[in-house]
Amino acid sequence: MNDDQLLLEHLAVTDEFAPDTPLPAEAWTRDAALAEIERRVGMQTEERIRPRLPERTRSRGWLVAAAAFVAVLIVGTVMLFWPGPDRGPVVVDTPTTTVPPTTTPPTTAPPQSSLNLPDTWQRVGSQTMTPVVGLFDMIATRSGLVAVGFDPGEEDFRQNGVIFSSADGVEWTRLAEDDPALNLGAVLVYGVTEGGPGLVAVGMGCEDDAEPCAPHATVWTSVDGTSWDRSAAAPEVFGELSALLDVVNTEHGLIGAGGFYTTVGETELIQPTVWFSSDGIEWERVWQGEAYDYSSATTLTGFQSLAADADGRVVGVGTAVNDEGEFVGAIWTSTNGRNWDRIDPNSEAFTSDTDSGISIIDVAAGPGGFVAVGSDGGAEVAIWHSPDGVAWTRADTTDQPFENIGALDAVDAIGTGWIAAGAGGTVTLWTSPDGLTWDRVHSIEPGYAAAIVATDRGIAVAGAVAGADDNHAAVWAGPAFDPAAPPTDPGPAPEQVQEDGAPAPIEGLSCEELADIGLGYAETLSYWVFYERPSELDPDGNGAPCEAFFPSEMIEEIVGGADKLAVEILVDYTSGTFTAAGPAVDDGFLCPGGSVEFVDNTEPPPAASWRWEDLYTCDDGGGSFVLGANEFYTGAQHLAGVWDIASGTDGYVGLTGGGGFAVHAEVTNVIIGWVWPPAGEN
Amino acid sequence: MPDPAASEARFRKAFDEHFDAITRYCFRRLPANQANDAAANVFTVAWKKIDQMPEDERALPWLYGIARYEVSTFRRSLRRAAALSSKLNSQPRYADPDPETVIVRNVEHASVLQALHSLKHADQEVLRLRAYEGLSLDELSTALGCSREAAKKRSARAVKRLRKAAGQYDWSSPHAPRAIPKGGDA
Repeated sequence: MNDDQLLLEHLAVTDEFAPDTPLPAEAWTRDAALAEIERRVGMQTEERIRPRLPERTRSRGWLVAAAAFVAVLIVGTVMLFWPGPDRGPVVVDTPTTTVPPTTTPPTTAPPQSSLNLPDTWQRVGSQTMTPVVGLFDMIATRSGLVAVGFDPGEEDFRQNGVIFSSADGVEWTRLAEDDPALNLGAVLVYGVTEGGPGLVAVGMGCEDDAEPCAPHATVWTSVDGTSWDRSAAAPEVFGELSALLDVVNTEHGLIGAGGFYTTVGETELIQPTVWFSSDGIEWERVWQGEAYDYSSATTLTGFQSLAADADGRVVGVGTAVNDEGEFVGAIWTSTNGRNWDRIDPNSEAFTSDTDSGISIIDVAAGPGGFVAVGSDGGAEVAIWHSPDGVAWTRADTTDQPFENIGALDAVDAIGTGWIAAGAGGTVTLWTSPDGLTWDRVHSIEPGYAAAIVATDRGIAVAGAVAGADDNHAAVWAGPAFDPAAPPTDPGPAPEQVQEDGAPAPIEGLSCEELADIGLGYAETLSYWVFYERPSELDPDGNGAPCEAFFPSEMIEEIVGGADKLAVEILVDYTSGTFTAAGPAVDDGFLCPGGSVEFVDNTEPPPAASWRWEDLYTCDDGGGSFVLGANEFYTGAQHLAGVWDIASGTDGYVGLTGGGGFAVHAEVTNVIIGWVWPPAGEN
Repeated sequence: MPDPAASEARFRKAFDEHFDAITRYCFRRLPANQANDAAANVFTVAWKKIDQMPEDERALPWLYGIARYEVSTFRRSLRRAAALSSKLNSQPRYADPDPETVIVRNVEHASVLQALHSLKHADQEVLRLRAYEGLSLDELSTALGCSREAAKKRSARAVKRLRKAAGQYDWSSPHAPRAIPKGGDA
């Protein structure tokens, strides 16, 4: 038994549902399963029409339990922390005095004179944002853009807060990387706003590295983002296990919202909670809703996002229970930031006819009122509009262009309309003139969207892209859209989510743009092959794209020098055969065909997702060679990278080569490039 | 035109022979209350595609392929839900969502399981199909819907990544250290 088999055997021991054990007690009997199957087969021809609510087919229960995972995350995450003493809900008396705000919030988006967002959509600043996992919020400030999030804190398993800023929206800088306020203990930053001394960020954290860690709602303040002050642990204000998930600066003062997490017996409770501050430094806990058991929630619960309009109306969105104890979309509203009302929790506009429930993820305020976005069961987008923050209408998205997108993650006002971002794989943008009817305007690239900022200089989206081993933070920037006049061609529909490898940068980039985003030549060659060798990148048609933008030594290292001979190899993995053609074959330096067999995976070079080596054995008996493939980019239907000849036997000893390859649907591999014979033989 | 009686007989045979295996597959990957639905879904699809179902021992890997797609669709939803809107997410981005509230029998298994959970979903799935479902490379290629070479590559890739992830632990030892979970101790 080799090591791999031993490892798999070892893994198999962990199988709780091993073949020789009875089925779990919760499993259906065969009769019950058959009855259900018969019912479903019979159900396929039924049509369901709901005259008043958006028509939607019933999602399969198991699909929609997507958020069971989320609930497990929430429960599991909380259970990772100190459970805290048993206590019931805490009701906070409304303060009898009102402290006038000492900071004036920006009433409208200030002129973004420093922003210089690009004319074409592109990922910006990704080089400086590795290895951060993701960004959670982004705002426009007087001096550009600020994005916040946290990294996994791999060294000590304690997350570290992350602050990025950009004056022009293109070049990004990480601030305060070594600031103890962002590194001590665990720091998870979820929201940011301008206010207080300059910037106010919120999230949750623990003060030290002691175990157990009981993270609680935390506030960070800074003058300019380069150094931060962290709120002291104050259980009487912030609780002992709690979180602040968003903050907004209003005419009333700074308002933060999140929740308390408590345990009563074996019941896990969440209590929506609002905090208030006039200066960003001193905070009061001013309101708490009714606590409810969230352990069976199939979606996120509590406050998720806040927005305030020019009239001082503040809206918070998320998920909570209705009078029946069912998890439904939740919207709370306030006229002063201290007293909050829940919008009719029993309204059908907030319910789902699936088993999973509604997630309301983000909300924005603008000239058109308020728009909230989220998901219905993780399978369909959900959108609500209100002219005043009080009366809400759910948009009928049945026949709208959301394709396979299951949720909208971020929304902002743009002009008198709205722009939203979602990602069922590909980060995609939609606009709406009224919050109810939407047009897809652009698909960016595979990744996740967390925040969107629309300015008069363009649009920026913050989130993450899928890396080879983990996601890393990303910001995309591009020109604005007019919700009243969406582009007639929004481009191809979003791709499904990537499951492996790194996605290629967006299609259509020039050599200059590729160089600007920091790609090396191997990545550039891979990009060219990935998008089927656009001639714009290789104007002289010699198979070496973007030659003018890279040093010749860098190019020759991959595709060879003056003595190289061109070759094209087609591999059929189904039959395990290859054919080769070109001057390298004509001159006898490579055979015209043979068999292919996978050899091994080996250590990939930097920036490559993977490397594998295949053995090519020539039918003419002339020998064999090992061709190594470094995969750089992965798409839904194909992947691409660069190749080399690792070794050879018989007539192929000393043969080297290189170029690009593209594998389509894991069945065929198109390999193009050159071989350069051993010295003295050409 | 396929004979309805023959189709039903084929379906019943496949159901009788493979219901347990498909149910276990789904229970390994989904919460209990969803696993039953998923398993029923697999056979619902199988019924609709009965004329495509292989007659012989390839039927089970074929069913696994359907099950994989069903679970994958579920995972796309939950992955999107988990990715950034999960504001209490302190788990790896591709953390397995399944209810492995399994009681792991000893520390070394916990270490391997922890290493498994740290991998991307695609790698986890390949390893599960190899280790839990016990599929051969040929069967794996059917379940994944790819060539045998591709299945071999992906399996080797997944095992290598598991080895690397498990390498930080001495998983052959019953006294392997347990990493401190993110954000605190369990």
